[in-house]
Amino acid sequence: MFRICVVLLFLSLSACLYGCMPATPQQQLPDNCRAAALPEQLLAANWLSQPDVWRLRQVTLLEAGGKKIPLEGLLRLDLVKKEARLVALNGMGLVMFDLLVTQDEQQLQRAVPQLQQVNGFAAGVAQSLRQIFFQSPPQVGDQLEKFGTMQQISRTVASGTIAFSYDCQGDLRTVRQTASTGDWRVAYDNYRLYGDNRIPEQIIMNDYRHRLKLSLWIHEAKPEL
Amino acid sequence: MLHKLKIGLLLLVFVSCTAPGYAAEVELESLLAELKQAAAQTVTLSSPFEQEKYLDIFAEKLLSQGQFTYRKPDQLRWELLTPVASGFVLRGERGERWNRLSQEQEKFSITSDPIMGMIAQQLLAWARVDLDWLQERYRIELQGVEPVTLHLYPLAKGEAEYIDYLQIEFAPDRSHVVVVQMVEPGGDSTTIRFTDVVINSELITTAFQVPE
Repeated sequence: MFRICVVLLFLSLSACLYGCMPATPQQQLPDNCRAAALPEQLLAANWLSQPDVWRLRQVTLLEAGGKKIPLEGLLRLDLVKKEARLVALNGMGLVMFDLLVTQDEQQLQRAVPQLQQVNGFAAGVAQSLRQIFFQSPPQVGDQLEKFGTMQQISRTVASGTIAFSYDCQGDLRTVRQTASTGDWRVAYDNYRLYGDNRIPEQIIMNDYRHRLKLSLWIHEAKPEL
Repeated sequence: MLHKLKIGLLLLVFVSCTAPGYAAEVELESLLAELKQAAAQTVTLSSPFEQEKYLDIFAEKLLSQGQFTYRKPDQLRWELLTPVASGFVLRGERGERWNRLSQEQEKFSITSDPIMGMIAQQLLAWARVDLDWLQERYRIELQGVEPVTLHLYPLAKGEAEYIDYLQIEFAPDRSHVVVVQMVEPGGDSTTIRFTDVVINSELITTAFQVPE
């Protein structure tokens, strides 16, 4: 009886630990084509590699420490300067925070007092935005592998690897880093054509080390002219 | 001598009573009394609304749509339908909010959640035209009469850091508010337009409950 109790306790603890990391739905990948693109074609087709400036209206769900924080916002994404400015609002249109992020630093322009008191808030959001939008793109010399309808380009980073996976239509679908500097995965889904660019309307970032999940749903994308 | 002094005093009183500032003050007081009387007749109020957020740094307008419902004295429902279904209901000092994105419902009280408290009190003040509450917190200026348009400047320093002023526009019959604009010090603003307002209609029994 005692053993059964111990096993049940272990199972419930395991379920809790697993459950505490927010679940991420499985990606729907195209399977009616073959992954045959050349590395340079994959790189050229990626919207994050283009010299564009975008205004993305999106809704965001930040999940951390058992809390879910839904926000609406506008993100100005300058892919030339590798600079992002995110203004997040609550449902009443009140600006919750305004954050400027570059590759190396971040500046919290303003925030409601409740967020100003959260240690590491600006740094955490900034790091997530860098992981989603500002990863150094794969280089032509990086290792290319094919797995059925998927292609993966990977390279070595500090004590680990970073891998960029593309579906057979040439869209970037995941970036996965396992390294001493971070253990995280970004999934890009629901690509839609905006002008000449295919942009994912759903992006989910899981930071396994910090038990943080950031989901973005882009519902309007405008290039800045 | 006494006669001349009396005439002088009378003239002074006359001039001060006919000065533009005095006239405006009298007009404002009279209008506020009229608005208060009209609002006292409102038992329920229901209206779709459009919310426009202007972000100065991007020179961009973000639009949302929703539905507002009020029942005297202190029940509210504020529901955004786009871009994300979300909102809250308030019954007295306690309420519940929901968000389709997080798929969560959460109880709150306006005393323990200062942001929700501020939002709820503002909405209640406008729905019931609670001028006593407003005059305690804002300096009120009359901007126009047809339609009645007021500017409200926060008296509390803390609130003035977030709100430069509020502009409130009433319906032509002065029975309810049709536009609320909140102008922030940095140049951002939020404008809420209430359209097709229905007053004193019967509300559905679930009007102040969280949607299924």
